[in-house]
Amino acid sequence: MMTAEMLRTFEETIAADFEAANIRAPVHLSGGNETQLIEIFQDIAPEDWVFSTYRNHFHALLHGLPADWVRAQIHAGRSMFLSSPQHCFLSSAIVGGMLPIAVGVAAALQRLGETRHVWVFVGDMAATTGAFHEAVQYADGQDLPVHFVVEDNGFSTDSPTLECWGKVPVSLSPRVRRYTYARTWPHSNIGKWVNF
Amino acid sequence: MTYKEALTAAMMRLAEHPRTLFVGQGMRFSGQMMFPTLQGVPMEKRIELPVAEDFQMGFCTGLALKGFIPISVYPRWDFLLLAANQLVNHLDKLPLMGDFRPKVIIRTGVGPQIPLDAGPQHTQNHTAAFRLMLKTVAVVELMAAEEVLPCYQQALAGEGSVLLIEHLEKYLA
Repeated sequence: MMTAEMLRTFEETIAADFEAANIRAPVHLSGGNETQLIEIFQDIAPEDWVFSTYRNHFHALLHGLPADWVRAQIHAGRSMFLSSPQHCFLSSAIVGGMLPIAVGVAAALQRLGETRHVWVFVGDMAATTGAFHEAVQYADGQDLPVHFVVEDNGFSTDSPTLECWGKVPVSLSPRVRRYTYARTWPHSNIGKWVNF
Repeated sequence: MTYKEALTAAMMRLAEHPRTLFVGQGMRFSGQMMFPTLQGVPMEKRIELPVAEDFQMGFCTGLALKGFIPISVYPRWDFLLLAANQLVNHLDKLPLMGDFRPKVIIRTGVGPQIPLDAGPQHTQNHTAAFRLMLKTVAVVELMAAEEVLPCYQQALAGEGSVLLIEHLEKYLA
């Protein structure tokens, strides 16, 4: 398992590569949630399915995708949708897009009698959407092997979730875990103008 | 064989495959025009979903990631429009973004205008627009009874996802 320092160093390297104009696609860097994620991934088995967002570097690394492979994918412009069937890892650049897909995989695992589990990560604004409520309601009702992890940094891009909605509901489902953190990188890219 | 008889035969043929599942609203309970064409499909192969069209498309994509071949049923094009996000952004684009190749067979229909005109929200045909939007999902419009069985067989045998459009007026023939 990677340490918090290893995770931070990985993203700093990506940021330097981006600033050097070696990555010709958007990147959404992770930071500020290393400790929380390391704790959560202690509950995630290597053979479990993990579904992520466009901010997926830490999830991929903690799920065991090789750092060199992840870095190569990012350099190839695939930062926003890293995926690996071999590692049962899939992510999407569409907000909340992985939710019903993750539930479908969980339903398949249940139907096949497999003991593996599904984990799907979403941001705090995604957790206010209809797609989130449908996915959690169905998973609860059908007792599916899936957990939803809400990564609450208070923002969707740069829009404050609480100010947009006026209030933020908290799910009572036992399948929903939530942690809060303060992001250390801008929503996208590195906060500096890069000349390509 | 009439159009509707051909569809019933096609569904039976799809049901013979060990990995197919029939997913949507009106799979186990009547209430939509396609339901009688499922008469030869065993109940254990039918998943009755709540009305949640985009969820349904994503759910089927997830089933497909684990090796099932979902037949995702939307009784009318007007309703499939609500699943456009998952169809266009995920099922269609996943093969362009990595090594996942989910295979889903999507079944929809153009609503009839005879003997009753179902109106502007139940009779739309968006086939031409979706041919432009979809890059990997094949689009097949079933215009005649003799096309039905071969096209569904080809959809099952082929590698990628397929969207098949039926014309519900032809059910009446």
